[in-house]
Amino acid sequence: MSHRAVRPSALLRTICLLLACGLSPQPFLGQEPRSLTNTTQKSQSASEKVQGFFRIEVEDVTEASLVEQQLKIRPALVRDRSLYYYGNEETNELLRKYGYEPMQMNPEDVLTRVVRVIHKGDEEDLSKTGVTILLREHGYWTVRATLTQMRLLGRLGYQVEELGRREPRPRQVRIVVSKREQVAEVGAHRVDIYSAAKSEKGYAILGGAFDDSIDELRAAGFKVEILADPPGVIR
Amino acid sequence: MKKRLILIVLVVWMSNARAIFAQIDFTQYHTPASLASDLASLAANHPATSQLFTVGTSVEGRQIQGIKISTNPAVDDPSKGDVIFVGLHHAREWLAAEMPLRLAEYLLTNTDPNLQACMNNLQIWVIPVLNPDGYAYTADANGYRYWRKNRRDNGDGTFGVDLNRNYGFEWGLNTGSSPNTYDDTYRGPSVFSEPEVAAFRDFVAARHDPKAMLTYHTFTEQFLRPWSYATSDPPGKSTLEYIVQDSIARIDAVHGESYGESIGYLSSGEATDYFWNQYRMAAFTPEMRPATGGLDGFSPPASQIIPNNEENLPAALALIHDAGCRIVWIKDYPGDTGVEPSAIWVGNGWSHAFWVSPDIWTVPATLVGGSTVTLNVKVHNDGKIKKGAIVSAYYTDPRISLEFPNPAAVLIGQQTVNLPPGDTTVSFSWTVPTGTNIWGEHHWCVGAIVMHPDDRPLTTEIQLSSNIGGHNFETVDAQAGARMLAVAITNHLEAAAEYEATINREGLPRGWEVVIPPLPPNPKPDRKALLLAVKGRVLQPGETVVQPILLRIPESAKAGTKVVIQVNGVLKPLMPGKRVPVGNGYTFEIHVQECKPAKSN
Repeated sequence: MSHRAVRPSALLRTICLLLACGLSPQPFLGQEPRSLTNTTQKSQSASEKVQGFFRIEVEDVTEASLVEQQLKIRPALVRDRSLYYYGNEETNELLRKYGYEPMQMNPEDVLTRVVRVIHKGDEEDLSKTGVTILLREHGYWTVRATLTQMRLLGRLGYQVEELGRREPRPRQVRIVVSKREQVAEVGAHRVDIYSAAKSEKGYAILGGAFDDSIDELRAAGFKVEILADPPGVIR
Repeated sequence: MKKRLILIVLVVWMSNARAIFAQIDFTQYHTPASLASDLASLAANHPATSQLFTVGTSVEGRQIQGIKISTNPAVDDPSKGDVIFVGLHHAREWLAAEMPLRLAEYLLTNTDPNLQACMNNLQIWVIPVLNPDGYAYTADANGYRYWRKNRRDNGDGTFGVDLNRNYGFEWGLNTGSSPNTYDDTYRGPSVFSEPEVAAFRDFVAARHDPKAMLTYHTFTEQFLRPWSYATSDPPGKSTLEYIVQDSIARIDAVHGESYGESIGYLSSGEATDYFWNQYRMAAFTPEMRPATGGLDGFSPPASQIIPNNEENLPAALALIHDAGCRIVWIKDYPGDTGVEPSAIWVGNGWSHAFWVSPDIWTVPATLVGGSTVTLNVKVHNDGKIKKGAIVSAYYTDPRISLEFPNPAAVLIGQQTVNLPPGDTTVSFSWTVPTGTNIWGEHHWCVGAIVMHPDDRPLTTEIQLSSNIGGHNFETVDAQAGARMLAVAITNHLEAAAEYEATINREGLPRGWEVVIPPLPPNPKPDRKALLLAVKGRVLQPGETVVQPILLRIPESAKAGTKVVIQVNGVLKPLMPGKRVPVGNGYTFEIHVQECKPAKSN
């Protein structure tokens, strides 16, 4: 018997998003058409009924992969010891046979979107909604938010826009560390390290990072210098 | 009219000649289209020795193409080893596509008989671009030159997964990858979620004898080995480091570029870690030019392409040489001719007992704790004199699942020697440990490795490399009646593994009984085993168990009889995809003694 994970379509979710946040469809006009079959949000076949979004606990990534391979349950997300999937009772019954205990989850609390939020008030107010600020730009923030958080943003009167073709670009940063071990530490703060050259003061790291990563680094005591954007970056 | 005909013939001949002898232009960066075109022309101009192949399809539907180089490219030849070169996991690293393309061209046009001889034993697979969607995006005026990932629509407003963080070994660690879709090191929603990476995994899994791989990246001028996910040592660290150092020297010798061997940060879910762990195939990441820089380091001037190709070529050719040509070697079993793999798992045992190398022995043969013995290693040299060869010898508990070097093996000694053509015996003085092995016996097994810059081992598995030999052999004096023997097995893999032991009963005299009782079941059921419907004993990584073997010698057995009992052991990792069996065996030679009369009180 074959058990396929099924997910709501990207289109369906986008419509939900628009309704939830009162978004204008305008930002989508310039967007490239997406191939729904190639996205992580696969379209739902008419014959398959989605009953929910679930989570099981797995020991590790290998076990998550075996669930996918052996039980044909495609993960929506694997994070830490959690495997999230779209499924139905048939899927869950199969998992129970292997000792799993599927738990229904609200995808709106787990899955996130990255959007632009037009400046309104100060950053502190925005942060209170629980969103993660990826980029602080002139006139807008780029944030990551759960759908629940986005609904809250809408209620609070924030203007939220889909990114469309305006993909977020990391900033180019320079961080000087005194010890070699600190290069790995910087990498662990999600800096995409381009190079780490020996310098007079230790190691000069050049890399790419978003503002949330830069905030983390600064909080950890690293001095982060933001460099000019390379050609082709429009903010 | 005649002159015109001659002219036409001449023009046609010249255009053909140009097609055949034309060189690929590396003075400018290729575009995705010109690279595909040059790859196709290369295959078309060398139909007898090359053929285009497709690894799979990208997330946006582009084909991932490569060129196979072999004496019979249309046939997938199981008798040949496979060497794989792959470029451009990361879209912006354009030099990493130029290098494998140049390598393919060089391999198809060189006339070096020594290299040709090695290539004749191999199937060489060159894949210049693993990430065609990202590559296209970096080359598109509406795209972004410094794009790194593939072009997966993450469904949340962001695009792209870092293909070199999506492999199924130590995936998901936040120390070496990001869980955030927007980050450039985003590892994907799950292991092997990306079609490019899954296709490449399946492509390598389909190879009969994957021996070595280079996965080209830029930049910072490093030659990297596993592990990338942690600073801990991988099994076979010294073997991998030897190749790294040798490769760095080869690169340096061309234009004086001094490559390093550590990038300084961690990356998890990375290709070389996965392939070393999965297949113990030598897998390295050359991070090529330039040495330093910011984002602009990903777009060095086009004038860098040719010198970059030139200096990286020798390291690639050395790997081909090691994989295809055997020069210095150790026999794995008495009838071994040096063909690798020397044995394969055939379902109920190994095809040859490759753990009884006749080239490794001690004098005296019987080991007594605390005594000093001579350990001899006979090395064969099929080539010219090899100066500066390194011969290393190790001892370990007599385990099934040996690999050399491995963390459990203790170095007896290492010698740098000159090996003349023919056979040379290298001797080590070894003081046998006074203690007992893991189950209380005074018995040890030994292994040896020979390496030279012209012939480096590409693995740690005895049966996969002619540079490695092992001697897992014990002489047992026994009398008629019941007797218990024992072997240990250690799961040296990074994954839980199913363990199986079998006895080769061929040649067992009538009346003799050998039984391998099943080990006690696992204390708690293993869910991975359940998913894979594995019923045998599962060993967790690092776990060692002692397997008893019950031997009953009949009363009729005559004193002086010698009987060989061969135990085969295998570990089958509980992993998705291809479960590569590893292990080896243990040979007991039972010497029947005369029964002593029972003492009476």
